[in-house]
Order: sequence, then structure tokens, then C-alpha cells
Amino acid sequence: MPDIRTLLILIPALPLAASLTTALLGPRLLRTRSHLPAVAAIALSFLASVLLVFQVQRAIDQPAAPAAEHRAGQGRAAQPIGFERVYTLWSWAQVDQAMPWPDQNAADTYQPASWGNFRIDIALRVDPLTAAMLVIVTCISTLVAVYSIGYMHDDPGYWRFFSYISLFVFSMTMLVASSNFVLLYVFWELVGLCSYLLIGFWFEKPAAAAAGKKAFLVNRIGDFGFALGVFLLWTTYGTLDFHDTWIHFHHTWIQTSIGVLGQTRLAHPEMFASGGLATAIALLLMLGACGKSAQFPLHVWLPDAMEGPTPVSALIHAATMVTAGVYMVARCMPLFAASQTALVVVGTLGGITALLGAITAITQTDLKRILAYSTISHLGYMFVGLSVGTLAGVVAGMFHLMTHAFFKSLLFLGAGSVMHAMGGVIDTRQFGGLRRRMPITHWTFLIGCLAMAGVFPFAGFWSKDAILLALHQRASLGGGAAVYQGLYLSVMLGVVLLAVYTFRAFFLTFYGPERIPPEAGHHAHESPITMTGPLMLLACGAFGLGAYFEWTHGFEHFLAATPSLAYLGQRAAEPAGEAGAHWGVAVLSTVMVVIGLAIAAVLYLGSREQARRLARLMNVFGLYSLSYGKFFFDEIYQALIIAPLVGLARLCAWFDQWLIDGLVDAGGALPKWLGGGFRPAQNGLVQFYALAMVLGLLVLMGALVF
Amino acid sequence: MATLLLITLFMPMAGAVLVRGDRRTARWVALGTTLCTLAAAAVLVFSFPGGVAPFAATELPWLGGSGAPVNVCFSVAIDGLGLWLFGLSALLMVVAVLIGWEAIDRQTTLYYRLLLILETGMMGVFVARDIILFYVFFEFTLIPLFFLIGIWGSEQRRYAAIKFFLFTLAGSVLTFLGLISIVLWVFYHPAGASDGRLTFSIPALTEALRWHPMDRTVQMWIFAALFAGFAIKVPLFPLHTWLPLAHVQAPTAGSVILAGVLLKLGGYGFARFSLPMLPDASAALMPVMLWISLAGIVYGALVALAQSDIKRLIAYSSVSHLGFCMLGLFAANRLSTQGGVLQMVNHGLSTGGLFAVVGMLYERYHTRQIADLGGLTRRLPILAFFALVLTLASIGLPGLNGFAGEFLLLLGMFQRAWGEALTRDAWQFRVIAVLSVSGVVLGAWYMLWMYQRVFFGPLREPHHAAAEYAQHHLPARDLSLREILALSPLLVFILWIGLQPSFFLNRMAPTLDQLLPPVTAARLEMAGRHDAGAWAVERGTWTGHASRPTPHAPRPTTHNL
Repeated sequence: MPDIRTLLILIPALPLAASLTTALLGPRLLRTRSHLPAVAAIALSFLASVLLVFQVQRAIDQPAAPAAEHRAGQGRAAQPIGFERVYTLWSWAQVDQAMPWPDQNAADTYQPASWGNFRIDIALRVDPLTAAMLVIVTCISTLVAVYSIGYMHDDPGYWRFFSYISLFVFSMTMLVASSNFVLLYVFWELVGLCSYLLIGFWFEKPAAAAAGKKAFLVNRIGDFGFALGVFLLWTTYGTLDFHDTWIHFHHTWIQTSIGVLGQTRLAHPEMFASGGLATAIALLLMLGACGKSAQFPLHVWLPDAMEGPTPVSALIHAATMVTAGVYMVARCMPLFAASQTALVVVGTLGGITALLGAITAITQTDLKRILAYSTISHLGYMFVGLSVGTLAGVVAGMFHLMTHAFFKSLLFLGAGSVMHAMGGVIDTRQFGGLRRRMPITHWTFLIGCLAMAGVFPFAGFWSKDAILLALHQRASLGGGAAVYQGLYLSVMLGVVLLAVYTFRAFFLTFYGPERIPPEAGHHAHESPITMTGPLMLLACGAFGLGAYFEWTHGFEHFLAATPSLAYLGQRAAEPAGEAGAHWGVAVLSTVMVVIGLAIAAVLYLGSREQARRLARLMNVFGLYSLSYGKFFFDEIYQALIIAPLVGLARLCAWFDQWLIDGLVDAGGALPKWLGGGFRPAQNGLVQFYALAMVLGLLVLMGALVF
Repeated sequence: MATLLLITLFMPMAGAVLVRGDRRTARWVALGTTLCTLAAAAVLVFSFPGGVAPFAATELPWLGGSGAPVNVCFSVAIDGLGLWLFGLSALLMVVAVLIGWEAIDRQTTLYYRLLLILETGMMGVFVARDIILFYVFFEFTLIPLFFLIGIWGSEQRRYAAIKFFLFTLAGSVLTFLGLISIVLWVFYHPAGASDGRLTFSIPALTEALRWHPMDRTVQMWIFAALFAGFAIKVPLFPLHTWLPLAHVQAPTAGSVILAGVLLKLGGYGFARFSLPMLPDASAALMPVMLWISLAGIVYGALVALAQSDIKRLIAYSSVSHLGFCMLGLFAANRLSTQGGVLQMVNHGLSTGGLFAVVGMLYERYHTRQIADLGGLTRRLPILAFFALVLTLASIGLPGLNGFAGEFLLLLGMFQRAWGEALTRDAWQFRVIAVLSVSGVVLGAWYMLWMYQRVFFGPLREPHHAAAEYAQHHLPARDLSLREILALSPLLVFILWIGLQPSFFLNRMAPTLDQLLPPVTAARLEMAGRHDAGAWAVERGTWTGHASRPTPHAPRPTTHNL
């Protein structure tokens, strides 16, 4: 079995190679076979990721390596907790002694030998969190890539699509395997670039081009915060590495830097910044996560991103890229845990987003947009889980990330299958009753819906339950208990909405009288096996994954070996999960789901007259318009931010052209005016010159005399 | 190596003499000359050993013999500060020749002569080690470009050329005054100029002023004089208005050279003269310079957002990007200065490339208006690809060069604002640091908006161009091999710097450490105190300034003394 280093390098390298190959050979040589390198590379990456998990698990089970023990004796670090490995490829930038002197306030804490060197390596780092993310990302990517063979066939940009997708898989795997904040930022932006390219894949559609730009810009606003956070981390900690750095020198290990999330710092929590600084750092990082993971107030780009091809929506805008923010917050959990305020803000933003997305999803008519708003809502749940700040909370958030990746990509691919059959139409008002024509899509979509709504025993039930349980436990402790109680209640309420909009979409698409839009033509049949195959595999995941990990506790134990999370587990004695509370939460949430399901069935399964009446009733208070208009965020931002900025830009341009440049031209014309003033003196009249001479002489003599 | 540097410098000059005959011969000779120059420059640049010793140095008496009271030398050498800009000049000149290949159809001989003379001037500036020689090269770049804009430019070329010329000349005359006063001050200082001759040697002056800094007031006046010329060259807000005009009116090659190299002369001047020779003034004026840079960043970006002409848009983006470079230089710590100098090279690559792409579009459609164009990815996929990479480099996408420079200099700026001990004006630095990052967001906005309108959406080509092509029954052609060859080297370096900036940083770091360390926190505190008395007491000994032992304090070197 290949060692960890080889695997870790292969996982991103294969998709990168595939991307370059497809880009170079695609247009001329590969053409309709352009999917071969991409699918092969991504599938191999998946295989490597699975092997990596086994290797990591084996390393966790084994006692610590001798070298690590040796180091532990030398430095101040206690016995290393958890499992992490760093493999350096090359040095990106190095500025020696960049920090002029160590922070005076930190003089009493431990200082490494050469404090203040700025050094960023291109280095890969693996710990259980990374390994888990790698498997999720490459697994979904493989299935989506296979699906795309059917979905994208005879598209003129076939090779371009697979080149971009491979580039995305490369960037995303590097993002989760990066070992410092600079690399994290680099690949954070690169997945954004892939998203930009893939949203605007059909660039001739003005809506697609505009959506791509919007996504990039809104993400840039988030990245603005992220970058500020990284800069503050540098000025606070004097390093941007996650891990500690040791060098082997004269038979001893010498620690040369204390990583931001390194073992030394984890062992000495007082070395984390506290107070306002900790809050500022955490919230700036959260702003970045808000952009990438489409959280309020930066969620507006995600629904528009549905202009891209559906496999892209499934992979990038549901299962993987948008969860990068969740991953980042989980990765930086010690930084967030250092500030209770930051955790509460994360939870509040997540809670607001969860409800906002759910309420908006209820009235949308575009099937993909319903799913997009539901993604926004589910990402909100994940942040709520993380905001608990305990090991249970983080594991719950990551657990939901995993199950969500499966059921949401299943639903998106199902929607894509419908769209494929309907000739590109995705508006639920134009089709219906497709269950007989598309049986496989129907059944897999149903499994996806059950998983998403959180019906026992589908995957979503377990992960959502874990979040609710973590919240419930947290609410019983002190310190912001009221906030967590509120979050718990709103998530419970959200579960009803979740069931309603999920099954509304399901019933609208597959039940009622069969309606097929004219655009569908002779396409209106079940999709080919390349598309239905991934659907069935994903459906298996959406059905069984949650229960499997819930019963074996495999996921939880694996993640708990991540150093930063192990530290969380050590620090706070977790309140023991009482069986009673567990059952109570599960039963309550199931009741909520049943209520939601019943509402959806009543409103949408038979005649839809009830639904229309309810909509009219709600609109008395403007609620329906509010939801249908997506809370008018686009309009508000247009009016409050974009229009004033564009106005300011025009004003500046005017100011530049007429005022500043006008002054310059005036300065240039000055000699001309001066010359014009003196010109009458040079009039060529001899008498005038004589007169001037005489007058001048008189003045001179007068001056001499007096 | 010393001979090779001389050959590199004067090869273009010789080429200028050799260029003659019809258009065909002229351009091949020009291309051959620039390629040979590039090859020679590449050998020099890549064999630069790093460190602080001058590389490939030549020093010949020039004005004033052995007995004369003045000692002006023809002294050239490569050091870490000029290294990459020197290489960039040689590279961009090849690009410039290739770009004008078809477009220049009148007075071609003169055109290539001017271009080659310009090359000698540009490359000379970055290696000159004598103030007079520096100034000669500095002004030398002005005249060829004046004619290039005035003869081969667009509609308003005369107005643009004269404005460009007068504006920059007015500034550089003051700069010359400032440089001469530095020479005189050192000459009349009791400890300086031991052999009783006026020395114009830049390293000698730097070294002398390091140990015997001028009075603060004198420094301020000289700083102001140098500022006049360098700030106009950069250009810093609000002295930038010649730039959009000159860029829009210049022929493509002129724009590429102007953006790629000539704008760097200002920043180079600040780094070569103002910061090392006038450290107290630099420390005292640091907030002012940072505010001006910030104004340029934000204002340039906002004005770019409102432009409808692609060339004007990129010109204003230059104002914004050079604001970043200046921010890096004047934040004056290791990270920021290295980032700032690297960003100057980056800007030359990406913006030079963008101007080249716009020129290619102009050749095809005879318009620069964004509104006339749309969906060109369908028609010109290769051009769209190059434009995309250059756009992304320009907005600082990680993995490409722009990010490396911007990230380092912003990191340095944040370190200046938070990490380094400061006096009461810390808040200013913090506000500047945070606001400057907004330039990155605005930069993405105007560039991507432009890209979206020109290259995405339904295909839209201007009517007159369509008619012209219809005569030949041909749509606009995608890039020819010549054009691809012109742009590819830029891409190579954009990727290289993006993936491994350490290669470029390590070679310039020692020189920058030696030249630009003096603005330490100690100096800043002194500058904040406005207490001339306390200052005078400490004057005269370097160690008095750096009251705390810091890694920033210069390591005294003796090789120039």
C-alpha cells in the first residue's frame, strides 16, 4: 500500500494532470472522448483518498512514531495529540526576520529560536479532518464526472467542461490539504475561479456571464474579510502555518516556529489571542466563510450560480465548494473557541440563514433554485452546529456536511435528469407528473427528499439530529445559553419548513397530471445509464450512510483524532449524552417532519387550489411576496451599495477629467497668459521704447538720489 | 560579465544605427536586436549571484579627469533592486517590437530606431550607479516616447505627447535639483568626500548619508524636490492625469513600454534615492505618502470603474496598482518593500500584457469602446484566453504573480500598522491598511466587468469593422503565431512568479535589506515627536537612531568605502 505522502500528492496531482491534458489535447485530439482523462484521474483520486483514510486510521491506532516522541521530550509541547503529518514540496516565499522584534507583551511566553521569519511553503498536510474531506470531495466528484458524460454530451464545450471540473477537483483537494493560511487562501480563491468559469460556462447567455461575475465579486467581499483575518493572524502570531515547525539539528529537534494551530499552542491555550483581537480574527474569517458558503448577508450569489450546468450545481454549488467555509471554520475552531462572542455570531448568522433559505425556498418555482435555497439553509445548519464550539458540535456540523453532500448532489443530479428530459426547462410550472416517464429519477429523487427532510432512518435524520442534540446540550450549559436555546427552537421550526419545501418540489415535479413542455421534444424519457448510475449510487449513500456512521461511531472517532478537535475534546468535559435527551430530540424532530410532510401533501398532492388560497392569504401581510421576491436582497444591495458606488465612480471620473486635469491644463496655460500680459510691451513702436527708457532712467535716478 | 552588461546596454543603440531600408528589413533588424539584447540580459539576470555586491560593474571616468574637482563616472552595475526591472525591460521590448509588426505602416525605420534608443535608456536607468548618468538615462527615455506618441499615436496624439513631455519634464527638473543638492550636501559635510572632489556615485552617497544623515529640515526639502519628479512618473494621485491620455493616444508598443517599464522609474527612484538617502524625511512623511498611495489605490479603481474605453480603464487600473507598489515601499519593512518591488515587476508583466491585448483588439476592430464589443470568446478564443489570464493576474488571483506581490506588501503594511511598535498615529496606519485591501475588491470588479462585457455574452462586433472584413469575406482572425509568441513569455513569468516568488525575492532581498532598512520604529517615534533638539543630539551616529537592536538595523558594510 502506498505511503501517506505518495497518496497525498497523488490526490491533487492526478486531477491537475487531467485538467492540463484535456486543455491541451481536448479541442483537437480527444474531442468527444475528453471525459476519459478527467473521469479516470478523479476516480483514482477517490481510490487514493480511501486508501489514505485507511492509512491514517492505521497511524492513529499505532503508537506515536519515534521521532515525534523524541521531539516531545525536547520542546515544551506535551505529548502530541491526534494525528497530523506535513509534507513540504517547495518554498513559496521566504523573508527572513520579517518581524522586527517579538511582541513585548508575549515576552513571558515561550519564544522559538528565530521568531519572525516569514516563510510560506508549498506543503501538504493531512489529519483526519482533511482525510474525511478528501474522501467526500473525490467521491462526489467521481460520480458527478461520470454523470456529466451523459449530461454534457454533444455540448460544444465538452472538453472545456472536463478540464474545468478536473481543475476544480485539484483546487478543492489542495484547499483541504493545505498546511498554512496562505495556501488555504490561494486555493480558496482558485475554487472561486473554477466556480466563476463554470457558472459562466455558457458565456453567451448574458445571465450566465452576469451570474459568474456576481459570484466572483460577492466572494471577493468575503475574501476581503478573510484576507484581513489572515493579516491579523500574521501580526498576532507571527506565523501563518497551521503546524509547528521542527528542524533536526545536531541530533536534537529544535522548534523553529509555533504554528497558529500547532501542537504547542494547543497544549498551551493561553498562547491563543483572547478578547477583542480573538473576536476580530474569528469574525473576519467568518466573513470569508459567509462569502464562500453563501451565508447571510453574502448568500445572494448562490441562487444565480444555478445558471451553470447542473452537474456543476451539484458538485460545486451544493456538495463541495460551498462547504469550504464550513471546513475552514471547523479547521480554525480553536481560534473561534477563543471568543464566545464569535461563536454566538457564527451561530446567529447560521440560524438566520437557515430560516431565510427555507422561507425563500417554499415559494420558488425554479426547481434548481429551490434546491439552491435549500443548500443555503443547510449550510446554515452546519454553521449552527459548529457554533456550539464543542467536539460534539463540530462533529455534528461535519457529519451534516457529509450527508448533505450525498443527498443534495443526488437531488441536483435528479433535477438535472429532469432538466435533460425536459429539453432544458426547469420551471416547475411547466412540467409535472413525471413519475411514470422517469421511474429511476423519481425513486432516487424520493430517497434524496426523504434524506434531506430528515425522515428516519435516512442519512439527513442522523446528522440533523446530531446538530439538534449538540444545541440542546449546549443550551443546558451557561454562557449564551439563551442564544443556543433560540437556535435550537429555530432549527426545530426550520425542520417543518424544510419538509414542506422539499416535498412541495417533489410533488410538483413527479405528481399531478403529466405535463411536458414543448421544448422537451422526443427527449422526454428516462436518462441514460451514465446519469442514472450515479443517481442510484448516491441514493444508496443518502439512504444508509447516516445510520452506518451513527451506529459505528466511525466518523466521530476518526474526526476526534484531528489535533485541534482532540484539543476541544480534552479541554471541555463533554456533557454526557443522556439517552433520554437524545430520544426526546429525535422524537420531536420527527414529529416536526411529519407535520411538514402533511402540509406539503395536503397543499400539493391533490388539487393545488389550497396552496393558491394559502398564498393569497399570506400575501395579505406581504409574506408571500417577501418570500417569492427572495427578501429583495438583490434590490436592496443594488440600491444601497452598487448604485452609490457606481455613482461615486462616475463622480470621480468627472472630477478627474474636469477638475484635476483642468487644473493641470490651467497650469500649462499659465505661461501663455503671462506672455499675453506682457505682449503689449513688445509692440514694436520705437517711441514707446524710448519713453520706457526715459521713464526707467528717471526712476533709477530717483532711487539713487533719494 | 562587466563587458556583457556594456554590450547589453549599447546593443540596442547599435541596432538603432543599423536599422534602415524598407519596413520588412527594419522590423527584422529590430527584432533581432531586441532578441539578442534579451538573451544577453537573461544571461546577466540569471547569473546574478544574489547578495549585496554590485554585479557586472564597470566604472570609467567620464566628466572630469583625475585632477578635476568633479568626479562623474560612467558607472554601471546590476544590483537586487534593479535586477528584475532590467530583465523586464529587455523582455517587454521584444513584445513591443512583435506587437507593432503589422500595425506600424509609416516611417517604420524611424519608429524602430526610436524604440531601440528607448531600450538603451530604460535599461540604463536600472543599472546606473552615478547620479548624472542616472539622470541622463532617466531623461533619455522621455524623448523617444515623446516622438512615439506624437507621430504614431491616435487622434489627439500631439496634445497627449506635449502634455506627457511637459508634465514629466517639469517634475524631473526639480528632481535634478534635489539630486544635486544631495551631492553638494555630502561634499560640504566635514566627514564626507575625503578626496576633495564632488562625488556623484550613488553607492558612495548612500553610504555617506547612512553614517551622517542630513538635518531633518534639509531632508524634507530634498524629499519634496525628488517627490516632484518621481511622483509624476509613478504617477501618484493627483499628478496622474497625463497617464490615461498618454496611454490612450500612444501606439500599442508605446503603451506597453510606458505601463511596463517607464512607470516603474518613479518607484525605482523612490527606492533608490528617497528612502535610503532621506530616512528621516521618509519616516516623518510616511503617513502622508501612505495616504497618497491609498488615495491612488481607491480613486484609481473608482475612476476605472466608470470608464467606457478599455485602454483608459487599464490606464486607471495602473494608477491603482502603482498605489499598491508605493504603499509597499513606504510601509518600509522587509515584507512590504520586497512585495512592493516585486509588484512593480508584476504590474509590468500583467498590465503590459493587457495593453498588448487591447492593441490586438484594436487592430482587428478599430475600436477601444467596451460598448462596441461583446462575446468575443466565440470569435477569438485564444485571444480571450490570454486576456483572461492577464486579467486574473491583474486582479491578484493566487497562483499568478499579482497575488504574490500584493499579498506580501499588504502583509507588510499590516505589520507596520499592528505588529510594530508605533507612536500615537497607529490608528492612521490601521485605517490605511484596512482600506487598501478594498482596492483588491474594486480591482476585481472593474476588470471582471470589463471582461464580461467584452468577451462574454452574445457576439457583438462593430459595424464598420464587420464591413471591412466582409470585403475580404473573412471574419476577424484569432491570434497569429507572432502574437501568441509575443504574449507567451509574459504568461510564463506570470506563472513562475506566482508559483515560486521566492526565486525572485531571494535575489533582490539582500540589496533591499541594505538599501531600505532605515525607517525603523525608532525613527518613526522620533518623527512623531517633532523635537529637533533631541534629534540633533542623536545625529551623526547611526546607532543612535536605532536605539533598540533590531534586525532592521543595517549591517555596516565597507565594500563601497
